[in-house]
Amino acid sequence: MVQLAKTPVGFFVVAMRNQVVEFEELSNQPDKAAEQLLTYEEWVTRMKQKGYDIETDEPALDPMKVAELIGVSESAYLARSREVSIAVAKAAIKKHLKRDLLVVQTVGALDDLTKTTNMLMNRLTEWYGLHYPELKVEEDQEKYLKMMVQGRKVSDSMGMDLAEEDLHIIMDYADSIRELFRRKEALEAYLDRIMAQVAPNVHVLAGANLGARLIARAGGLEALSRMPGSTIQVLGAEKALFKHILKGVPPPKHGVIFQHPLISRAPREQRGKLARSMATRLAIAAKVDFYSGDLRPSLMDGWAERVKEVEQGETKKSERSENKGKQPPFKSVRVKRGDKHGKK
Amino acid sequence: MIIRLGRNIATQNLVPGQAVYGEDLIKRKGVEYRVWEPRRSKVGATLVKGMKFPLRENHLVLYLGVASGTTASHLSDMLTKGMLFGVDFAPRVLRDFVLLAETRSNLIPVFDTANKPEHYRWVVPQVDFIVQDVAQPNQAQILIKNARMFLKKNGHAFVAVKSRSIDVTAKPGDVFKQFKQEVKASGEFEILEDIRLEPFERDHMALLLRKK
Repeated sequence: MVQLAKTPVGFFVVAMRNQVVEFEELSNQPDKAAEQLLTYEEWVTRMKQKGYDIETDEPALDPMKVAELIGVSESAYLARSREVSIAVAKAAIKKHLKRDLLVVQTVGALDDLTKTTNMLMNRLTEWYGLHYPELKVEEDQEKYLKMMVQGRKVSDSMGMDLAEEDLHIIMDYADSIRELFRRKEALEAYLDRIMAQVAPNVHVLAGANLGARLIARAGGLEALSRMPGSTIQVLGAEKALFKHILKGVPPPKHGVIFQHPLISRAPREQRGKLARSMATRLAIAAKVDFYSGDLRPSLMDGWAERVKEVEQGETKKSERSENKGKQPPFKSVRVKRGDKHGKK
Repeated sequence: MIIRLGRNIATQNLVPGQAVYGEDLIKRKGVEYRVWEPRRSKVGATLVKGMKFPLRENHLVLYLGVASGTTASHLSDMLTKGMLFGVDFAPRVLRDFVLLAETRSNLIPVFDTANKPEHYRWVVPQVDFIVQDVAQPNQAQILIKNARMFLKKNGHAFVAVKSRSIDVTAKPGDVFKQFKQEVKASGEFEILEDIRLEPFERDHMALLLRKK
């Protein structure tokens, strides 16, 4: 019986816990060694083919003690481990950086821009208001900026007269805000494009903005794909959720998913049901996006019927039993257990 | 290894001139020290509160939940002849720890989950000390698994327990009691000390264990 050992120095076949019968040395270059470590399973197969009777029940050998068998000192082992581990960790981290992280940052940048432009606009309207208090454009900041640049002013304005220099400074300030609005538009268009690549189904169901927010809240597409619909439904309502868990107040009906027009525009008493229904669809959409990436238009099948059902109130028991034999609406996209993508 | 400076504690900087997380650097008699912020580090908090921490300069340490390496950087200062293996599965924070490890010759990053000690057996040898700060509901089992695989006999383990990560609805006192029972029931450890981390952390307990 022999034992196998993977170490930062190399792969070993060890007999009687202290005799090295095979040793495959790893490269001295840490990057190269990190790559070779990934071939361990192939090496194990080769050793089996060579006819070694491999002990599998014993606890794995201490890699430092194994390395000592070929004369590698403790300090040499540790120094080598450090170099190789840094290379391994760098490669693994790099592999983890996928395009969904761009979505997370883009939606964060959009939020920052919205906050910033609101703040800057508040100042601007107060400032320019000294000169032209009659200019009021409710809710539409960009229109305000446009009107400002046109510079026409009512003749009987009660505003202060400004010198050329005063006006110039305010206009420059307004220009930089307009630039931020343009930046926002560019980011929105970009977000729409990358959402369509990164999470096409979530994109179709939730729209670029809400979809991106869900991915950001979950901490990435993989994390979102692992969430059940019930969690997705209350993403962004953590405060209310914990209040529910701790104090027993009614649970939140929706988190950021509320932004979905089909939910926020629905009558109040229907929102919870629609949020739940949309969240389960999104849960499936996120799984399809992460594991396959194909667009499945069938994910919205049955939505109109569900909305009608919710509008008409509770389904009657008799109707429910009628539905029994029918196919569940999302059967076609379920990820099968044991599917090559199903488990990592 | 650790000095007291009035109310603060500090470690002698292994890499003079380098502040790791915005901590103050202080010179005493020509030697530079890094102030150990008890609010940023649970080990720091227990030290300020006076718990023993039997780490020696030549120890091999396995740190589960190393994150960016705030605490590990102080342990690195102390381990002048030792080595620390820092395990974390969150890429964002381990990225910072990798960068730190490149500047300190006694830190080794391991990108893996502490739930699967067999994944990093290929590099981690038997160690003298385990530090665990993982904030996972099954952290007692994580500790036991790792101690069985890696901790030497009579080796020590320092564990930070965050009650809210184990069960938000239960009372912290009950969670801690349950945790200690679970650790005892494993038969692996003797509990040397336990201490609550108020006022530095809310609903946290630190334990010092010795492997039987």
